[in-house]
Amino acid sequence: MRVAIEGLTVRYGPVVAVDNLSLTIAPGELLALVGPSGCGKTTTLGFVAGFTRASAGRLLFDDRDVTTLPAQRRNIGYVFQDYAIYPHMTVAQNIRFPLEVAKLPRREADRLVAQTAELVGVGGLLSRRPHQLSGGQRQRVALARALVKRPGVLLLDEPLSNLDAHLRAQTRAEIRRLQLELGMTTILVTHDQSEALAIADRVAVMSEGRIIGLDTPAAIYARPLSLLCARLIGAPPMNIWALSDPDAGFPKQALAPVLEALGSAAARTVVGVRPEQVRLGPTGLPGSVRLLENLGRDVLVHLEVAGSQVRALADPEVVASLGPGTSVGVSVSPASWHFFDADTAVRIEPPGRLAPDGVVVREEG
Amino acid sequence: MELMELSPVQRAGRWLALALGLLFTLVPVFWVLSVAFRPAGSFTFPVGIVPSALTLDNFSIVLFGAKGIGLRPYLNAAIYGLSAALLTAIISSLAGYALARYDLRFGRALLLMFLALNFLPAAARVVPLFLLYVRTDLYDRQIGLVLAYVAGATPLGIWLMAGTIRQIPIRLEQAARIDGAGAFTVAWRILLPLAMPGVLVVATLAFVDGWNSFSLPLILTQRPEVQPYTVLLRQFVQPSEGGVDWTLLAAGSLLGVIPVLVAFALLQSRLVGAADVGGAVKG
Repeated sequence: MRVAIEGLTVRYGPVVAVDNLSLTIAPGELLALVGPSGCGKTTTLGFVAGFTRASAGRLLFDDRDVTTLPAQRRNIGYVFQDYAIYPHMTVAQNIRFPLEVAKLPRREADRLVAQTAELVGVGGLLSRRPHQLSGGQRQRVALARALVKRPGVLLLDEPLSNLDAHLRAQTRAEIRRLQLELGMTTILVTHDQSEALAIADRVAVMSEGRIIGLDTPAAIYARPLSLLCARLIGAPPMNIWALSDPDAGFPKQALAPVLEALGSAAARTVVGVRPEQVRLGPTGLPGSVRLLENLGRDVLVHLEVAGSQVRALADPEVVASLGPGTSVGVSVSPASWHFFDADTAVRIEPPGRLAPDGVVVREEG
Repeated sequence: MELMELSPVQRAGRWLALALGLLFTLVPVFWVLSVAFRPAGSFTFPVGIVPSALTLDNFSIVLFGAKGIGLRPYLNAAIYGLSAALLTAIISSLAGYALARYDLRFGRALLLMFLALNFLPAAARVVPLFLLYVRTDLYDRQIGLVLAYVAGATPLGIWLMAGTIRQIPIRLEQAARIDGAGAFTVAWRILLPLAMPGVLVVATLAFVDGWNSFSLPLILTQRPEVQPYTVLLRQFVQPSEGGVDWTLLAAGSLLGVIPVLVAFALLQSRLVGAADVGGAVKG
């Protein structure tokens, strides 16, 4: 099913929670809404579910206008952040509830409950009560209850945020597998950009009630269209400097020829580079190591270069000889820099040989 | 609640307080018990604490004897208790839901008013009620009495139900809506089971009110057919005709206590154990 949100505006008194937002999700697509808390992503999800009253806007399922259809008649699956499993029912009764309400024949309901429970891996827990389940198990029960009636749209509201880190990575892959298997149009709301990049077909970055970036994970990572997108997407976060600031010594020196071409516009430019694209080695500008953070596969190196604080992600072998106070050469390929207008925070393409084609795209998801 | 380590002195003090409290509540009960099972006429001075002989005659006289009051007054009390319980539970649940979930303009003020109404002395409303009932033709009718009990029990009931429903995460209602449930199904399948401890408390309080009340039926009814046992037991208290028939009075009262005891015994665990709503949210 195709889901289209058209011109959604939600106001709470003087506060505009969602501001004229339009978004179309293709059939079978997993779209992630990412943004800091308060950006309007859960409000938008609530509009699709039928909980949020819109000040303006329409909602279409395929070509049917469902804006005023009550939640119980939208045939939606919804996994709540806190799961909202019915505490007075067993796991089986929880999963069965949507079918019972739909007055499905008993035998058919039995079959679907068993099949769905098996699908999400709670087949052995059917007679348990919610208080006997772990967080991960509750999450699966909530997912089974959402999936059992084979909804047209699956809405996931921060479904992983109450799980521990290990379970989170495992479960997000599981969710993606189920979503692909059932071919279900899905909207995932999350504040965790890595979750969105990992499993979404497209990522919509939201801020202050608007979508400020909408693209595939790879594209939104490689070519953030606004400064905020650049800040929000990617971990560890991008190194960002306003060229007019006194601490921009490193980008000014590294980008000297480009800045010349920019001329007076340089003062109104913000530049950024991802830590994984900062190279450490014998060549480059001299930097001094402040701190090493071992992240396992990589080491995050905090450096000071020409008066700028720089974070670089490096292989453990490369930095084996480094320690706080030691020196190392720091360089960045010209194509790895991102440029933004300081006033509008919008991406700008630099002059000369830094054409978009030169940008290195790292495959992700 | 965590249990604190108590010193022997504190422990002894606690036991003493409990024992005194028990003595204070239980002695009258034992006294009624001991009197109710004595043969008629054995209740003469000097009165012994322990009866010299035991009999069930008093009970059969009260219920079936010519001197007794019959079954009807107990049936009446049951009608009043059960109707008051049912109506109060329904009204309190609906009103409590509205006050808990909707952002009503005067919601808080209303809740405070309901609480304040509970502190109004029952005697204060008897005279206005009597005048009202005489004029509206509710006087001396069962429905009138039931309405009086419900009016008395709903303020506290609404207050309790608003609190109970506030404890139930609104997420559960949203989840049920998403699952396809309409308003009635949400109320019946999700809210009612989770609010049941509160509903039982409210219903039990209203039942006890309707079953035990003395002054309201005394003032609002006069036909014996509609009066409960509490009022009719007075016929054992007639100083003009040879004084008080203590053994029958005790037996009749004891019959009135039994249903209340049974109700509390049955509901005890559910009344004390609060709803396990915590299991719904987070891990």
